[in-house]
Amino acid sequence: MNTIEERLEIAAADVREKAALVPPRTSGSVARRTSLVRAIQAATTVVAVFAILAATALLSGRSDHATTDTTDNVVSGTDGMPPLLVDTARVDPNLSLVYVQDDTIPASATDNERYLRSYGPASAGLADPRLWLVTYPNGSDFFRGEGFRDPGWDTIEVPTGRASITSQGATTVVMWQVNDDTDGPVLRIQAFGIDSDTVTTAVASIADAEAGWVVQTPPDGFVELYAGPEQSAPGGRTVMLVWMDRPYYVAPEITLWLYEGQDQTVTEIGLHDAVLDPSTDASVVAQEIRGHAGARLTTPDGVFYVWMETPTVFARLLVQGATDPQQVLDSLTEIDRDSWNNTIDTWTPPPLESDTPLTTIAPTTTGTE
Amino acid sequence: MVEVTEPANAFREDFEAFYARERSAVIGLAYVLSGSRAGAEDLAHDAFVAAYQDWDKVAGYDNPGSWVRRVLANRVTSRFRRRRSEAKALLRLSGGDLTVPAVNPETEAVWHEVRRLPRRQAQAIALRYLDDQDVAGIAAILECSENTIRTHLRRGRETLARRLADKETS
Repeated sequence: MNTIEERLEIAAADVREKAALVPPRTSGSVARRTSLVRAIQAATTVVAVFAILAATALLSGRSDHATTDTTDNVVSGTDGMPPLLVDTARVDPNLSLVYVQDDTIPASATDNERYLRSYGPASAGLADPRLWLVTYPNGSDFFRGEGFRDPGWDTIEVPTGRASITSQGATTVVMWQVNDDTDGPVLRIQAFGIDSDTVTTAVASIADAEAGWVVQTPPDGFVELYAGPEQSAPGGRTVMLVWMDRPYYVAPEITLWLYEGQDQTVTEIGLHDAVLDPSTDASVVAQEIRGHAGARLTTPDGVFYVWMETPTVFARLLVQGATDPQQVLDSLTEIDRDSWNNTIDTWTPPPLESDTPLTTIAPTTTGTE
Repeated sequence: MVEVTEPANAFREDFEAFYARERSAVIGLAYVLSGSRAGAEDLAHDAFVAAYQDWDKVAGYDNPGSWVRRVLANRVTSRFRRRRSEAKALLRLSGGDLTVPAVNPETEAVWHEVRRLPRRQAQAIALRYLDDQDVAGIAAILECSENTIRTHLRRGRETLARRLADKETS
């Protein structure tokens, strides 16, 4: 039996061998991707040959969709997804639907050891104030590295350990290592739409209770809205649609996610994920979206719009590279459900030949159900 | 006639050599940390794009490769980014399939357990064994002390050995 070191060496050699077989893109493709963020002229020959892959199965398979009958568009039940598409004719004629993903994530599925609690007004809408508390049981790189010394962060007083605070727009973040062990619990407190004095008061009341770390004195009128694993999606059916320009795939790029859940959990996890992706710096403003209270987030990845399309469906739209993200948002169109289901069920990737005309989705607006 | 050097071309050539040299290793790192054969190349590509954007600064670092690996390690933890990279894996910009070829089952079993480790332990293990970094190199990439890295490696190996043994006896 090999030692663990030997097994790691063998496993590493296998991966190195396989990674070396991945064919190179031209470095000009790096320049083209860069132009998504800023304008840099493409340097080398564009090679636009498309090979089709089956989607890698990271998630569980699709749930069974509700079937249609002859009298209703959809039998109620699992198919509560709004039949939304981007009307590319109103945005950019070069856009095509290039990717569809339809998965159902079990509510308990998570690959993350972190725990999330959210607090807000009892009838909280998306743009309403929130206080989120995430527990990192095994420490955080924020304190293992030098992140807490970044000039953007200030030190704040806490009962034990050490903590830092930063604010940007409507959001305030506190990182708190609760004792001297960098591998011990770290708490991330993130506030949206709450003044910093109220945040620090709430932070001071955080304690390790029987149920885990909790905010004992949340802001006035706040109740606990969610408590459970931190997830990237609320569980339930998730549909992702991606539109891109062809054949250069430079800009714009539009991604629409629809997350279907059972209750308030959809809102809290979806909003938390959208606002608090640790890799983004988001400025958040409230905005009415499709007649619902929503929020617009401006991030290095592009502009996100998040809103509750129905009481159980959280929607997120990411717009990159478009000169007017609002125009993209306004182009969202509800088509007839049969056509939408057909689009999801029968979608195939773009054809191999780059000069073959693509069939773009032409929504037929027939009104809502 | 006076020959004029074109700064833009020199900029690209320098980056091109770096990209060609480091690409395979960064793709391997993206694969073991994300578990996604389809998305690994795109995740790696994103990290190189970040380097390209600041190449005038990154090129001056002692080790630009460490900088790219740090960016990758930070970004691969974002599930949002991983899923979008999965989507982009369907888009081919060079003449062939960009998916990492299938590894053997033992390899996948080992790296699956690595990904189940606490994040920093997983990163340290991947950088040590896959990328052949020494403790100092890992510490520079992850911006930790060398003692912390030694602890991550020791605890990571202990947990891996136990979990793999448990799996094989169950």
